[in-house]
Amino acid sequence: MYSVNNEYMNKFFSIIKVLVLLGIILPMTSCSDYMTTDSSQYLSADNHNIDSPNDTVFSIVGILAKVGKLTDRTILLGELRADLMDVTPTTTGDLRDISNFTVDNATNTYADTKDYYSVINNCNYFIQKADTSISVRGRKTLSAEVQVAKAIRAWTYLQIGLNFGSAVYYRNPILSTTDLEQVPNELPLEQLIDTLITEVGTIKLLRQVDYPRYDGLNGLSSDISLFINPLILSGDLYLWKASFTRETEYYRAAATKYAEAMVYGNVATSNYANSWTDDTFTRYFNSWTSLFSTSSFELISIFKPASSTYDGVSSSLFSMFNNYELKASANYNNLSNNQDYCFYTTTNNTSKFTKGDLRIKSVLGTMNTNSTDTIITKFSNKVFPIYRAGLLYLRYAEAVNRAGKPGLAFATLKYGLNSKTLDSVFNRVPHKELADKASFVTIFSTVNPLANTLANTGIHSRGSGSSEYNTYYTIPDSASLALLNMDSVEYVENAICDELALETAFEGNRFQDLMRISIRRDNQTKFLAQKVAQKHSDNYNHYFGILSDKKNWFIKSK
Amino acid sequence: MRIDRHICKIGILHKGVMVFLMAIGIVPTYAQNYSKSKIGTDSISGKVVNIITKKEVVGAKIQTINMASSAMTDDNGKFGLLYPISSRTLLISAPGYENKEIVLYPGEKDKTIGILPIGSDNYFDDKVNFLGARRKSSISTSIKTLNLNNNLNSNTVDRAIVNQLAGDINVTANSGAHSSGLFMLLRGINSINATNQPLIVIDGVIFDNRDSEKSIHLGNSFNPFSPVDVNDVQSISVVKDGTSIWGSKGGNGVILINTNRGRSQATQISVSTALGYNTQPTVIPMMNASQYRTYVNDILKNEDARNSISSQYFLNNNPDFVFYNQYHNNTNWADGIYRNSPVQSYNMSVNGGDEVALYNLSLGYSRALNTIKENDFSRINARFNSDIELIRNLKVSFDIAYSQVDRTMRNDGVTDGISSQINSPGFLSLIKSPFLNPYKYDNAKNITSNLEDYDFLNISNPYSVIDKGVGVSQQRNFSMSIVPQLKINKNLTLSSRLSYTDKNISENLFSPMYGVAPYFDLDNNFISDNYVKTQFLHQISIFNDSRLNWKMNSGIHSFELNTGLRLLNDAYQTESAFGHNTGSDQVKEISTSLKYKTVSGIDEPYKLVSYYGIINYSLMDKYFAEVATSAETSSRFGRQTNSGVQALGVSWAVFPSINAAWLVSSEKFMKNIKFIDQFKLRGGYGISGNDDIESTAARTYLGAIQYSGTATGIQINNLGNPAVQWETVTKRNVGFDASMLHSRLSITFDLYNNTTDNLLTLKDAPGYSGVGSYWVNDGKLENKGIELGFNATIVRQKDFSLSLGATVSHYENKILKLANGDYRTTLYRAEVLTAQNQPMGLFYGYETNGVYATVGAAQLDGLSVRTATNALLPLEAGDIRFVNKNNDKIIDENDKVVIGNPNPDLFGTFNLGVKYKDLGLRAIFNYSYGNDVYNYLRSQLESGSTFYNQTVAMNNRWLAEGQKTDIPKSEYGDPKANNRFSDRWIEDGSYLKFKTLELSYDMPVKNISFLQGITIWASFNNLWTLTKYLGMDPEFSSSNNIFYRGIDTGLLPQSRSYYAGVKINL
Repeated sequence: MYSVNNEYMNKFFSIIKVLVLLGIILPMTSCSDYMTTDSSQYLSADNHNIDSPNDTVFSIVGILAKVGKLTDRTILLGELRADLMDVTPTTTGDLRDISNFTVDNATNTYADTKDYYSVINNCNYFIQKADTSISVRGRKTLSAEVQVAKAIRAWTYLQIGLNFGSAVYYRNPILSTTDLEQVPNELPLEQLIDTLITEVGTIKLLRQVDYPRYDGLNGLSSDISLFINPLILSGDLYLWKASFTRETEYYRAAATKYAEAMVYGNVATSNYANSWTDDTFTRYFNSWTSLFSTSSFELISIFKPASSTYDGVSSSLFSMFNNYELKASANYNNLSNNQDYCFYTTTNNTSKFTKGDLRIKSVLGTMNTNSTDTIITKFSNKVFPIYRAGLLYLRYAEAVNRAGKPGLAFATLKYGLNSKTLDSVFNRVPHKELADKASFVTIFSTVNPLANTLANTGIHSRGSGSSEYNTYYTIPDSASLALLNMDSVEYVENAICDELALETAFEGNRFQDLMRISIRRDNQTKFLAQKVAQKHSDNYNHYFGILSDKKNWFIKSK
Repeated sequence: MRIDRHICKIGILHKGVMVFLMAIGIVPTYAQNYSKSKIGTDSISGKVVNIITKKEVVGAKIQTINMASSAMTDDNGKFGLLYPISSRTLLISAPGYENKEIVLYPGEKDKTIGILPIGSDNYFDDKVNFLGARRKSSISTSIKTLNLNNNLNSNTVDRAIVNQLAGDINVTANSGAHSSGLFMLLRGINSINATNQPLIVIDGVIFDNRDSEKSIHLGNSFNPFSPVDVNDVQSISVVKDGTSIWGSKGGNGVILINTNRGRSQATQISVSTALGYNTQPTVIPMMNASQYRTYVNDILKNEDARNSISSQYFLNNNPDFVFYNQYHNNTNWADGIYRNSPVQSYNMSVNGGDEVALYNLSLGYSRALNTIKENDFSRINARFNSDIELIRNLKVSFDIAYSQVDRTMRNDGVTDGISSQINSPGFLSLIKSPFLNPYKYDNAKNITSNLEDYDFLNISNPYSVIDKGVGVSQQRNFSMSIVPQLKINKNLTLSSRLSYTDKNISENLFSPMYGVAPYFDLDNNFISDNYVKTQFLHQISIFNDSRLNWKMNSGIHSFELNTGLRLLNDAYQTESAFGHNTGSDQVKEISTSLKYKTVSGIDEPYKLVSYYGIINYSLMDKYFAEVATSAETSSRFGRQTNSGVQALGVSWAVFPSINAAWLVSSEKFMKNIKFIDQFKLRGGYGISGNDDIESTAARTYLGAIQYSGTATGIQINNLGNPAVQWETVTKRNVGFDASMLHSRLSITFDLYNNTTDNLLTLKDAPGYSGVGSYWVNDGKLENKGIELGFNATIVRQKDFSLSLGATVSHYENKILKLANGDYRTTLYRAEVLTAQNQPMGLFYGYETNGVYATVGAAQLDGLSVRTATNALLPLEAGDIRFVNKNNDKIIDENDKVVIGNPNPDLFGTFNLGVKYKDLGLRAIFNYSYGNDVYNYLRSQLESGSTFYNQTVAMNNRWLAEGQKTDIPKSEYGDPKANNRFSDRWIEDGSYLKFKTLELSYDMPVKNISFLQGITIWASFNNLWTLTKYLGMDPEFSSSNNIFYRGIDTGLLPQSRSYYAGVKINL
């Protein structure tokens, strides 16, 4: 057919042989690289570097989306276990179990620790990977974001500790199942708080406003942040440590951090109040509601769920409240209704009183015209505060009260922290409490923003009228206190606890607030057990019994 | 055993083989008998005759296997042959006759060899395996090869498999739609979470079939066979064991499809056409208008039911009422939706060539309308296969194929979940109220041609879905393959197959607003008026298989060694979008203005490298062995697997296998057992794998997430396990093939015991890892089974023959070990149990024991049911009597038991063939016995708790105290959950189907020079089904996912069809 001479054939064969050899050897030499496929759908964790501002933004937003997943459980675990929020006939099993302290950690959606650690691991990853050495125009561009991630991580750890009693603590990201072979330490709450205090202490405040600004994210006013304020977090950690150790120095440290947060963040409590328009108590003026709007000056750190699952992580809380799956407890209603409202007329300097704190008007409402069910309407803006001014001032009051300054603490509620309150001339705060010139007091006069006489009003005034003129709203004299079998610190602490309810109900802090107050008292569990058992009035002893064991304050984690 | 003395030419290799053969116990004392004398010769003479006519055959060729000796019969049919004593097997071939193989025993000098004319199933037909077509006798693995040379009736590859391989594969067609795809299980269920579908290899090209890819059309699945024209298929081979050579893709067995190639230099043109039609399927008999009216009134006793309907005009029975006509019809909705539908197909092929090149070119067109409206299939396909002898010893095969499949469809079947929209016309036609009309009445109460909107019961108008909806699925397949093959010397050949395949699928769906009830998305709190879905899938696959073939045949020993390297480089991408509320039914496309959009995409590259070697050895044509190994690494494997071999930075899976066969009939002691023509024992042990591993299982990835609608973030998506690996499938097989009574009876028998280790499963991750679970290999299952096939020629005369064949298969699946213990999966309200020491797929639910006829009977039992809010409701008269397993008087979770098993006890086929002169008749039946079906469709049509029209059986529902019936009372919302998942919906799905009756006639064309042959044929399909099953069709598959097995979602049933065709050979 064809004739091909031998020489040609031989050459041809030797080429073929070489090709065959190459064919076998070539793929072997670079097998590992060859077998590594890259998808444009995902980013592989092992060859991803975070070294530009863009990477950073994406990573931080990713972390925020993870934090968003904690919204519902933060509020449910914080409130439904406590005394202010209650179940209704339509409450589903998972929620009912939270309220009844019968959480099955294997099945309850809200008892799963996975989502918390998911935040932590994403933070770990970012903190480890972000190249903080890169600087643009002399500014270390990624440093601020790393601080943000550290604060979020510490806050998340604190949530785990407070809800579950302990946390698995690790700082290197888990990026493969091999990383699971070494099980990190599990720290009990007290030890965890010590660790977090050290860690938060390393967070550098780069500017007064300590977080990066991402324009347009959520359409928030620029003073509201989706990040965790490290100063307030630091104050919280000290407050917890103080409560465990009962040492004044930690109360002072907490107060100092809170004060710094107020001053550096220019945080004031003014302007938001619900008040009767006249002494007939028929019409009221509502401005307290607006502190939950996204243009509020009150909000410091918030959860802002997406409007629907099509836009990102959304929250079910709004529909739970609206559908009357959860409601305010009788305790909350009673507490609010028993407040003495003071209407003060400047024209003739007289006070007129009525019963009831007006903030309840913004907290509760009715579902629709043909329903009598009272639903929680506090979050109709779908903004869930993590930190806000009211809370910050109440925490400050809590700290200074135990730091030996109940007068200052009470003044924060009654008059508001301002230059007038702190001026010894007006006798609003006992002189001996101001004598030591504690930095958490003097800071308000040296750094000026709050020094204005009207910068702050008393928190109590936000719903109970002009509390500075409220003669019922005072610390009783020592004789009366003796009859009550308590000292002024305990009295003020009770007042703070009630104020926390009136001001911050359903925002997710209640159970932890009760825990913190309870543990610093002589009988470590009684305060909390009483408060919560009152909610279960038909089964008081059962719940008092359960909650008298501190172990039951925590959900067993998986 | 006494062995002839002869030389061992290649001693070392020989010894090795001996050791190996001894090791597997085939020739225990063989080596000692070997000495170094020359091969002797022996001689035979005799004649070759036609078995049927007993006449001598002239010109028959007789040769030894290695073709060293051969002879031809003379005019008297006689021959004489001198042959080496080591080659005692002779091949006999003659034009017009089937090939045959005989063995000569020592001392045989004279022999009459009977051969059969072409036409019957031939025991000695070649089998197609990894290496191509091979002599059946030399095959030691379990393979069934179906030659489709004379295929007439099977108009799709699907149908060829269902009709003729249903005993070898446990196969069901997905639905009655044309080329709807198959669900195939080869020797049981090999995997729980990875694919169970066998590997499909078309013309030697391994393609990574994405079993997980889903159509956006409900009830539709992608069919890997739909691009292939069955007329182009030469053979379909089912490889059941010895699949190690396919490495991590061979675990579920392999289906090899080879297309027609150029056969001879004589040009053959073949034209075939088939026309047919499918008859309208018989659907479940539903209530008529008056029965339904009574039923609705029954339901409306409930206040919630009354509140949920938007008008009560239908209650007004005054004929003067303005809307009277609108609510007083007797519509058979199914009649308007289903239809008789025509099918046509045309194919032309040219086969031929010259001494340089052989080719086969074929073109085909087929179009089939399905038996439900706006549902059809059409395909244009072209294929060109060529083999070119470029220069001496260098041959190049060049193949190119293109096909274009266009389908229109609507959603089919019932969705899972109550809140989803119901817009499948078939299902709607069953549930729609018969007293309504598809068309509007005008004010003068005259019917118009305008369609009605959805009705006051919130049930859509199926006519509107058909008329205004869109459902398109288009698939383009292009493939090209080039195979240079260099013959280096007479023993050594080097070849390399390089192929490129491009698959494109695009799909569109539009569900209209008019006529379709709006759908409330409760999770996301919005109303969908209409919606659009679209999807693109694109897969480019480059495959290379380079191999060196070395062959040697010394007469005593025959070796064939193939060793090579396989590379598969696959790029797979998808894009899909889904959005709601286009604003108008005129706008049917995806656009930015849509609400509640979701878009997603997949980008999954995949690479596979495999080194392989396969040695086929035979000793004296009596003992056969096949040893195969492949070493594979894939981008899906982790980098540090537990069972892999670490090399070059990756983990290699090593899959060895050994199969051996012993031709017992060639032994001297069989000389006097005359009724056996051939008897071969086979045995094998091999390991293969399943690499259907999630693409992200081995590595940790970051993925994008939307945050608050405005920003994008990236997050850690998963937890990679560098130890994740293939599932390991170990196959053990013994069997035999026998031909007896002068080829009148042939039997194939197999016993197997396969196990799958390292089952891929999701393991719960510790909470602190931040992820829920990750992939691990843990768990084990087994499949034991038996397969028997026989073909018997009962009557064999010159002009008349009658033959009978059957296959019977049985497998027993058992889960041996589970990583996370037993669990249940909820699908279509059913619970599917996955439990140790149980088979896969068990239905787990409540047992029932009739209906309480009287108040007294209910009170006597005193049972209560637990509702979702934990309240207890007592069972009353007219409620189902659930079986209280734990005697606590409360029907709840704790009373659930296994109530059904979708695995059949037996399945297979029967066939009957009759031939009278040029007239042929063939009947094919297939059957499945002992499989349970969960009739989800019926549970919807007999729930008695909704406004859906009900089956006529519901006329017998409990209505009054004392009524004895097995159907409970109707009650809106079903407060007692009488229609919960219970044995009430589990039915025996056994069936015997008369699949095909085919009549063919080969027209005598002796006097027409340009014609070689004309065959006219007619066939009747799905003639009847013998079953107790109450659903429309006991043969269905709603998903390739094993958990969905036996769940009837009411897909389009197969119906009777009639075809006729002609095939002309020029």
